[in-house]
Amino acid sequence: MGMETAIVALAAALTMGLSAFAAAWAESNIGTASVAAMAEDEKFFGKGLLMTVLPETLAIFGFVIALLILFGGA
Amino acid sequence: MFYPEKMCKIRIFTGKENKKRIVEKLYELKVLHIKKYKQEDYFLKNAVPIKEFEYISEMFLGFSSALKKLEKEGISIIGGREEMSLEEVKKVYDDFINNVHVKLERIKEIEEEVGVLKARLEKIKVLDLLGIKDMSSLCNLKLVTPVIFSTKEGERVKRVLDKKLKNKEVVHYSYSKPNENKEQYFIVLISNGKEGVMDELSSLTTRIYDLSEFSVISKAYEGVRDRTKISALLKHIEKEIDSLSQEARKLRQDIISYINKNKNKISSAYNVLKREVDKHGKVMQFAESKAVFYIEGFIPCKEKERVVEEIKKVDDKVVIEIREIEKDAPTYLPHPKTISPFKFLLDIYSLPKYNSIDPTLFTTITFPIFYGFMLGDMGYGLVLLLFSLLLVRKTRKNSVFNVLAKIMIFASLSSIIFGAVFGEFFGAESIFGLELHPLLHRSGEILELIIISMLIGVFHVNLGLIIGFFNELKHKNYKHAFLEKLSWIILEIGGVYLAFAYFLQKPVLSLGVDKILSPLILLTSIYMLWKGEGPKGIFEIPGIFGNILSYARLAAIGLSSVALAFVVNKFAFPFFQKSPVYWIAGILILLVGHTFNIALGVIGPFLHSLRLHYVEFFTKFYEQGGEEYKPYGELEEGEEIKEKVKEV
Repeated sequence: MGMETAIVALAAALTMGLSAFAAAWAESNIGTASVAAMAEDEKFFGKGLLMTVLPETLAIFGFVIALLILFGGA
Repeated sequence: MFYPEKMCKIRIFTGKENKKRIVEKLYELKVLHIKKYKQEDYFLKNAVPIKEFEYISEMFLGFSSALKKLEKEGISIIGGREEMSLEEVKKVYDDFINNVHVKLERIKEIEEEVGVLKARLEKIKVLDLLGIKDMSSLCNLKLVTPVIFSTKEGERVKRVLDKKLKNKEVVHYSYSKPNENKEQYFIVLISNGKEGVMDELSSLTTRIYDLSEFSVISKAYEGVRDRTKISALLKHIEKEIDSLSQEARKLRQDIISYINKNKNKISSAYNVLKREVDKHGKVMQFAESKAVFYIEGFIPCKEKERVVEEIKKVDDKVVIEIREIEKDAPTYLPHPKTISPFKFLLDIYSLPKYNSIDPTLFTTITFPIFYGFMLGDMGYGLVLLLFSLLLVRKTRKNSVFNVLAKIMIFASLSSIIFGAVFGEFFGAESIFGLELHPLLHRSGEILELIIISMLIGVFHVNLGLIIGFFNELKHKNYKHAFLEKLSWIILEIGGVYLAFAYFLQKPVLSLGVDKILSPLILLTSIYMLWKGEGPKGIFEIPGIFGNILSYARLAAIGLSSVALAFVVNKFAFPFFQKSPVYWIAGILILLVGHTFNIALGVIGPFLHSLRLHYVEFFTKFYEQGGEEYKPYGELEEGEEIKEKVKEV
């Protein structure tokens, strides 16, 4: 029982952590490019900010799967 | 409200003698969106501005450059509203140039002179630090070459020089004390022919002084008594700098005092010139021949009678042609005051094309709902509401911050409502002992929260598809409407029906019928997608489920805010159970923690709510790339002079 709970918790943590890491890595690259584009043309601010947030979906999917693992495991 | 304003194309032909009056009238009306004339005709060329335009633009440029320089001095001028004739403007301009522009030029000259003097002073001070009393002693050496340099590695330099002294490559050296930057100045007398000594030292020096600069300085003060004496030179240069700085200060005071007396006239004259330059500068977008003046553009159709009436007052022989158009017109989105701030969310994305759906009304409803669902705390909502109301009062009308603050008023009200639904007040489940009874407990009913978020997603995505369906019907694109929009809705219905029939085993009609009908519906929708969008449509089928799944962020971001608030409260509350001295720590933790959470709560829900609209909602119907309607006669945002005069 204890081992099962630990594995479930680890699985959920890895799911969430790795997908959040992937989202952060993608956003850092996009953010850098967006800032460079904004420095050249201020009108790009809105679109640049939006594009930076786009990879957040990865973290959301990771969150959903982590919760499913936790509830399924429980 | 669901579509941009209906536009009409207008063409005006008139005699060239009416050019100035027609231009004045159109500028006054503020309804014409100019269509730039591209010369395709031998007879019609791009129009030229009136002959007064040259001196109007000269005055405007003169004012602009002087006002920019004043801004650098920290002086800005408030927007004046006086109407003036061009003759009055010219008087104000000439007066302004004599009292301001000329003095600004002199201030600039003084600054340059002071810069040169300070550079000289810095060099002379180096000699003073080295204990040299007279410059002539430097310039008259024959058997040795003096070198002056600065270094931050004094000890290493001394070791090198000591070696060179023994070898008689260096005759003498002395140095100053290190300053606060650990920089020291050295003067080294190198034996003639041994200049290679400096090659060894160059990596240790921060700057090597050119000796000819000192003789130049000495020559510059030929009339000054004891001009080679360092102390006399220092005093003289410092006196010069002082006197020039005083002159600059007096000039600045004169300028400020002049502007204080005439600020309204100056800013009014500048605004009049700005409008005149805008008015006559854009004349080049019209067309003319030897006898005819031609204007082409767009006006809102509701204004056509007024425009015709007003132009006929200028000359009743003017020929005006107006017709309604279905496409290729600028997008004009006049909204009621309540929803107009939300147009900003379209501006940062892209305006809709003319004659396509304007989603501002939908966004006004759904954006605050999504925001409130994510933040969902009464306390945070209240703080944001107060902050937004303050920002609306303190910021210039229609500026970016003003518009964002107005949007945040709606968003924070929604947060308060959802805060009541979730029973949260700064993360706590009670307000000063009064228990809150949530309809949905966010941290306790996570699965339910996610399901509700998905249902919101299903609703929102399908709303986009339905809007797209009706939009295509309006444009009589029946094939697109049924095969590219309705097909997705049927696909979703088929998918859910199939799940009920085969996986959940729950009958809708009867299990037997369901098991036959559900795959039929699904296959029909796939066939419709194939016909409408080709293979691309089939590949995008998983995408719609991804779109709906994306709405799980409504739950995720909300939960992260709840978790952070919970942690802050858990840290702080134990302090309140101790003696009152500990309460200070508790209050500090609450203040810092909740402020941080509110800051995250402003950015996160805003951006994610926006992203859901742009990516999941707009992509179902939005036709972007509209050209903004810019009426001739309305200056763009940010062009009015603002701020107060700086008083001395």
